[in-house]
Order: sequence, then C-alpha cells, then structure tokens
Amino acid sequence: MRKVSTRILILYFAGVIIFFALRAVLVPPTFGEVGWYRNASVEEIAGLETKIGEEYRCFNCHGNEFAEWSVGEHRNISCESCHGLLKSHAENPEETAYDEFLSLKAFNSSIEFCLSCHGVSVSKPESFPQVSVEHNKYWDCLRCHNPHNPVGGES
Amino acid sequence: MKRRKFLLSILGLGVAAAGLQLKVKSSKSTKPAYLFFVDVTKCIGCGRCVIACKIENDVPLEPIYFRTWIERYTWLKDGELKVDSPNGGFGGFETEITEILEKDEIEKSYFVPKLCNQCEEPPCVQVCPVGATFKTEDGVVLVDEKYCIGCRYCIQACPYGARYIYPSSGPVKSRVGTADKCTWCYHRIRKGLEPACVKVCPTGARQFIFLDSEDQDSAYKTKLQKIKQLKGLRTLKPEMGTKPKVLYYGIDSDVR
Repeated sequence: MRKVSTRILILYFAGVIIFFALRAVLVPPTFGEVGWYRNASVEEIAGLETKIGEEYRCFNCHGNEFAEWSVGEHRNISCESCHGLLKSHAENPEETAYDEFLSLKAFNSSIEFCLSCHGVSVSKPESFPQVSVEHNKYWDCLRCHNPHNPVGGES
Repeated sequence: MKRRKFLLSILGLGVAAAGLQLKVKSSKSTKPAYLFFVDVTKCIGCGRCVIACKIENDVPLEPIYFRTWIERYTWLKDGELKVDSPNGGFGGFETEITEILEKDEIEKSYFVPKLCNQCEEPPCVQVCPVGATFKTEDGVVLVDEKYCIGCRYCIQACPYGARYIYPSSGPVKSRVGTADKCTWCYHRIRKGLEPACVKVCPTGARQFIFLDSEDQDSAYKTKLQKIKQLKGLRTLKPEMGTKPKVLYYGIDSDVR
C-alpha cells in the first residue's frame, strides 16, 4: 500500500512540474501582464511607421501657397488631401515623387480631379458646392479657379 | 482513510497554488482615451479616406479588403432601402446613384463611412480563443499578428463586418493569414497624430478627438463640446450591447 501511494505522489508532482514547464515554454513573454494578451504587441503596433502627413511643415517652404490657402474656402483641407502622401518630399525637398493615388497625378485631367469632390450627386449634402459639366465644358478649372483659394482667387 | 485525506489535501493545495499562478492580474478598469465622430451630413463620398487608410496601414489594394470603407444608403419613395459600396468607395463613387436607380424614385441618399467601432464591449475579443485580439488600456481593440491563429471567430463575431483575413497578396508578409482591422491608426494616435482617414478627409466628415492627451489643446475640447451639443447622435447597432465608440451624426436608425 505504502509503495502505491509514493508512486501516486511522484506521478502527481511530475505532472505538476511538466505542466509548469510546458506553460513556461508555450506562453509568450509579457502575456498576461496587463490582460489576457501579449502586452508587448501594444507597443509593437504603436511603433509602426507612419506614412501619411505627420507634422510636415509644408509652409516652411511653400509660403505663397499658405497665404492663398489660409484665407480661401479650402483652408480646412489638409495639404495631403490633394497633394498626397509626400513624406519622402517633406524629408528631402529634392525628392519630387508624386503620390499615385491621392494627388492630381491619379487623374486624367484637372477637371476630373476637381470633379472627384465637386461632381454633382444626389447623395452629397445639398450645401456642398457641386458643378455639372454644363458649368464649363471646355476650359480647365484652373483657368478661373485657384485651387488654394477657389472662390476668392478668380483672376 | 488518513492517507486518502492526506492525498486529497495535497491535491487541493496543488490546485490552489496552480490557480494562483494562472490567475491573470485583473485588468484595470480602462478609460477610453479617444473618440471618433462621423458627420454624415458632410460626407461627399470622395473616398480619399479609403485610399489613405489602405496606404497608411498596408491594406491590400484589391477591392474586398478594407479597414475603412464608405457605404451609400439610398431610400426609395416606396420605403425600400438600397445600400451599395462599389470597391468600398475607394477613390469615390464612379457611378452616380441616379444611373442605377430612377431619379424620381429616390427619396434620399447619403454616404456613410464605416470603420471599426472600437467597442467598449468588443464581441471579437470575447470569442478569441488565444488572446490575440484585445482591448488596450486606452480603449482600442488591436490584433496581435504574431499570436493570431487565423481561426476567423472574431470575423464572425463582429456585428459591423470590420474584420478580414489578411491575404497573401498583401505587402506585410508577417500579417498573412491573420485577422486585420482598423486600429484608428494606433501607430499614429499614440504619437499624437490624427488617423490617416481623418487627416485626408476634405470636408471634416471624419473627426478624431483625443480625450485625455496631456498636450490636449483647446481645439479638441471645443470640438468635443460642439459634438456633445448635437441632437440625434447615434451609434451603429446599439441593441447589440457592444457600446461602440464611433459616434454618427445625421444617420437614420436604418443605418446599421
């Protein structure tokens, strides 16, 4: 009888040791520090590189554009909205790569570019300025409108 | 009998010790640090947010993968509701709704930007079997790409369809086969920058508010006050009990 119980005890403690050994190997570090997750992944995700519009200080160089933009109807629109993600240009002004998705270069013409926001649609808020093709069929929008100050900047 | 008692008590002690070891420190009560506000009455469906999001977050450019997207809600005069979202609104809605439906039939139509609601009670976190998706202490739901096993439970659990499985065609290879979703650009907001979609939104339809950042300037405070004064603020599917943190202004209760 005594022998059997020692065996059980040994088995039992072996089981406990194996459990904790496995657990130490399988549970990743920092798991459970704060909650039921790997705490290190929070900082991993927070540390990812940004690609769009940090504080670019565009106007350190583009002062004239600032002067127009800051008093125009487009003054609440960030530079990146129309010019795209020019992080490389902001870091090195010599770099003049264009953004292929968000800038003017993503469109066939400046008319198409302007209409990507200002085209007529019943789904748009009524108060939003919308122009149909009839407004002007032949001229480039930029001939009359300065995009940095579209209404006040008519020349 | 004595021996049995002895063995049982040892067993009990062992279990208690193991339990203590296993017990995860109960997470501190979290306080949401951010708020997302969508003003549907300002959205023009230009789709810049969808583009910017995909670039900023390495979301595959193919049509079916989105962290944020725009839906077009259209009510017909007979009360029928039509919802479409061609290519998630990427780069705008090329086909006007009047080209799809008769103009006379349309009662009203507007665009609804969608993204992860960063729920206070996230069902996706509840169902994750491995603890790969979780809510951070500042209230954002994230996915640990190193730990996700790609079981798709969270995708089924999310009532808003905010999650997808990252495909092998995507640029980030370590993310392939894991669940991916909007993080409110966690890597940006933690640096004090606004999310990419907010940054490029030309009309202010998307707004982001830092609730308790140390360098909180008055602009965010006034923004928050203005939002709080609005009547008719809604969240999506409030009946699900998920307590979403994206507030919508100008939507009907049919918008889900």
